[in-house]
Amino acid sequence: MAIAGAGQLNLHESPCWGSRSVDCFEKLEQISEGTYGQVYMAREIKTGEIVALKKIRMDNERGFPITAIREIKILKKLHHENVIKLKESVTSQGAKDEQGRPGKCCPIPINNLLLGATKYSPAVDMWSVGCIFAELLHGKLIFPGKDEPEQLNKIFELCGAPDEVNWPGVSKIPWYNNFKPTRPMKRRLREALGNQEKAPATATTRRKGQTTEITAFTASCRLPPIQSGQAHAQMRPGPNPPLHGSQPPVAAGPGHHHGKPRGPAGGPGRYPANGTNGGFNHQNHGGGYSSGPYPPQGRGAPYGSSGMPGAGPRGSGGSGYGVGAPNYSQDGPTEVLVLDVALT
Amino acid sequence: MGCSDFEIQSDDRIKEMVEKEAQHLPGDDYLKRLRSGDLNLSVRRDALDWILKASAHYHFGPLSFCLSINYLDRFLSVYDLPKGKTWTVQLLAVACLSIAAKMEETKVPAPVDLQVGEPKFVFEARTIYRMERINGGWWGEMDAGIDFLEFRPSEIAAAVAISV
Repeated sequence: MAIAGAGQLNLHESPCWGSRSVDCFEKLEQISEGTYGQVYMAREIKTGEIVALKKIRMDNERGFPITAIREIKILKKLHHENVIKLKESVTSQGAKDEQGRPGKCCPIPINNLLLGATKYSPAVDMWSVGCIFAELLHGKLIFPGKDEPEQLNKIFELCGAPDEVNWPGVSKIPWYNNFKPTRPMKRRLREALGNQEKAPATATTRRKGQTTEITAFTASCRLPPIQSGQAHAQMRPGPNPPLHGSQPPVAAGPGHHHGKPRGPAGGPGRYPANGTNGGFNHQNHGGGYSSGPYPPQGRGAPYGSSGMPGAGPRGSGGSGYGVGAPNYSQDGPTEVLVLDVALT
Repeated sequence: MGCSDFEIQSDDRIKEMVEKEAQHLPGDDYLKRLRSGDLNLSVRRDALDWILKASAHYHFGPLSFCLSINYLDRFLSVYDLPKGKTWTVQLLAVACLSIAAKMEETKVPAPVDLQVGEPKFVFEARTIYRMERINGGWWGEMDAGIDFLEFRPSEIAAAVAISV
């Protein structure tokens, strides 16, 4: 087995086709900064057009950040006046990125990696989805904290204080002891969001059944898993009847093309011949929303290199590669998204 | 896989999909170059074999598989990799599968961990990462092409072909 060293491949001279340089834009001011990177207001030099530039932090271990890939993919699909339009992605040559910091970019300004947890995972996305649903119902931001401690406090006020009972493992998370609430806090999500009278017009004008479903969905989310792996088990049925109470946690259901059949490692074949489970049918990951704990094999160690079933070290003789040094300095292009936005 | 799982598409929608597909194909002369030996067909086949193995190992869906091959072919049709260095194609395959998996999969292994199935060449994380960025700069620019709910005809055909 041969190992090609990085030096053998002269990628510096390789073009990033199709990609313009960020130098086509003049940065005017920084609009915001979050775990995902920075967003700038900028002017395209040639046309004078005002755009938003979103800088994506590159992840040394995982390459092009999955969150950025998903964001690009989704933004390209969405065409709506209220959804920011992705114009193009450009690169910055020779820019030095922040070093040694894992790239995290979240599509929404919700602080979804809490208490020093560093693992981005589907569970984190679940949290974000829950937050957005809650905000739709509430009609405004649900955790409008100015900074992380304040935001955490708002989360605890609404969702209750995290402890080992409702969030097993939370006490092991790096900053738990610094930020844990000093007084007991009860979960009052249902009181805060469950009342339809308080919901915004968009929600109240829905048929009653739908609204109740969404409310149930929201209210039944306990303080969601923020880390990964074992944290999934703490999703419990909430006070309201589960949205899909009759379904098993990972029920395969027809009707959605995007999902793929996925079995536990060593399970049935990749493409079962059976008509209902095969093909592009959607596997209802969402069973875990409200119908009880995730099955342990269902969503284990998301995005974790060591947690993949059967993904261990690649057998014998496969250890010739090294995982890049954490502080590998980046001298290549940096991806920057240009977003078309009316800035005020 | 039952074709009945797909919604019946209107003629207009099929037409639109076929037109859209034309925008996501390798260059016109790609097939000719592969046949003439200008591009090494066996190297491409090895790369595809590896992508299939790795996809199966990780239980990736057919969409990731097709998408990664599409990226690979489009890259090869536009960009000349150094001749005689077959490892560059394997590196490209790893980067293409990595990006396709990030695009489509729920569980995505680290790029280095994708290199299962005893490929001839194994690359360091940062090497794959650089290739991903070359690739990434490119696919970020193009219309990513795959609809959430609908598939291009060739993907449907390919998915059917590999699953029957």
